[in-house]
Amino acid sequence: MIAVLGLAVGVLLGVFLEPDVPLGLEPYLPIAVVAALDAVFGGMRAYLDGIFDDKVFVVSFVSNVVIAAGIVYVGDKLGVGGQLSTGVIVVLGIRIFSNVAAIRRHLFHA
Amino acid sequence: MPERDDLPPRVTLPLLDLVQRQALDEDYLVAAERRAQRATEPGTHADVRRGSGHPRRVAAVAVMVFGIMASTAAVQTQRNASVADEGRASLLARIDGESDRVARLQEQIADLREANADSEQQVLALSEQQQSLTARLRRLQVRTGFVAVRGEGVRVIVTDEATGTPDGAVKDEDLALLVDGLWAAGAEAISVNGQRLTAASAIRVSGAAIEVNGVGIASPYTVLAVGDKGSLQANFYDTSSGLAFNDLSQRYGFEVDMQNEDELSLPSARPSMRVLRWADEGSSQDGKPRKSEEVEP
Repeated sequence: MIAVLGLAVGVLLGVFLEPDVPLGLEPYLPIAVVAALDAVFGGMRAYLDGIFDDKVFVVSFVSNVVIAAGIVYVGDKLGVGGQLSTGVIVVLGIRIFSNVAAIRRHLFHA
Repeated sequence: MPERDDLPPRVTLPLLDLVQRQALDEDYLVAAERRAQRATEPGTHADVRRGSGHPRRVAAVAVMVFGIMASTAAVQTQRNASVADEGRASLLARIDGESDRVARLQEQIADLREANADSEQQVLALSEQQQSLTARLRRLQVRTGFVAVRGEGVRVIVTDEATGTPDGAVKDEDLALLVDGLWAAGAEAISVNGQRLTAASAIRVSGAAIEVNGVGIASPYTVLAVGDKGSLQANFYDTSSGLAFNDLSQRYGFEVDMQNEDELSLPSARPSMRVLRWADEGSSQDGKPRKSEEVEP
């Protein structure tokens, strides 16, 4: 429950404060969001599996965000930023889908 | 094959299968196992509670950060979209304006081309006109003594009768007859003793001496006439003035020596003779006097 509350507070903060992202980091925000989404769904599935661990969740969240943004950053520097971000999004998308599928099994027993 | 079974699945599995199978971080499993191990050990109940107590807030904070990131990204994308839309709209407006300008300029080009063609036509006509006018000016300048000329013609030397009787002396009328005859015979330029004859020239007598252009001259009188040397002499004796001059020379006995010359050189008239003092250029196209500036030496 407290996590849902945190999510609501975060969304409201983001919408109303409209924090300015530094121009250099702007291109990496969307990929970081997708990576964070993966971590969040992973955590949700672990919670439903009954093996949720906040330390693991926070570590996976931070590392997902940093690594995804870092890969795209390096790709940008090498001139293959577009392709690398596509690859990252494909992998994260597959993970998100399978995690969501597991969550669905938990919630609807189907 | 047998050693393959020993390898962990992350080595043997195809990448996509691996990604799908490991969608859940293995760390959760590892942490859960560790917790389970600790739970079996005595005196560590506090650890189990840790999972649902104060640390949950850390996860909530992480989720909150996620929310902030997601909404920020969304807001930003929206903002950028509006900026991009504006940029596109302004670009479209500019393109429209520029293509309008291009059309206008092309119209202008067509107009200018037409004007160019017209002007060229005009230039052609004008240069033709100029050519004919220059030729005419040339002709008039030669005829009126505005320029020095050179060319074939006839040299006439008239000398007073050798005995020196007053009747045998050459009179101004005699010279005038000679000159008139030469003009009539087709001479283009005439000079008498170096005095070029112009339209304003006069041959008259002043006392005993003959004056041409206001300059006194004496026998022998050398008359140079530029013209067709093949026909000038013959034509001269065909004119009434020429016949009269011939009669007079026969009657009074002054000597006339007329010879064809291949190369005659006539000076231009004196500058004072060439200045138009009272006449101005007429406005009609066939006005004979040309611009006085043009003929100024």
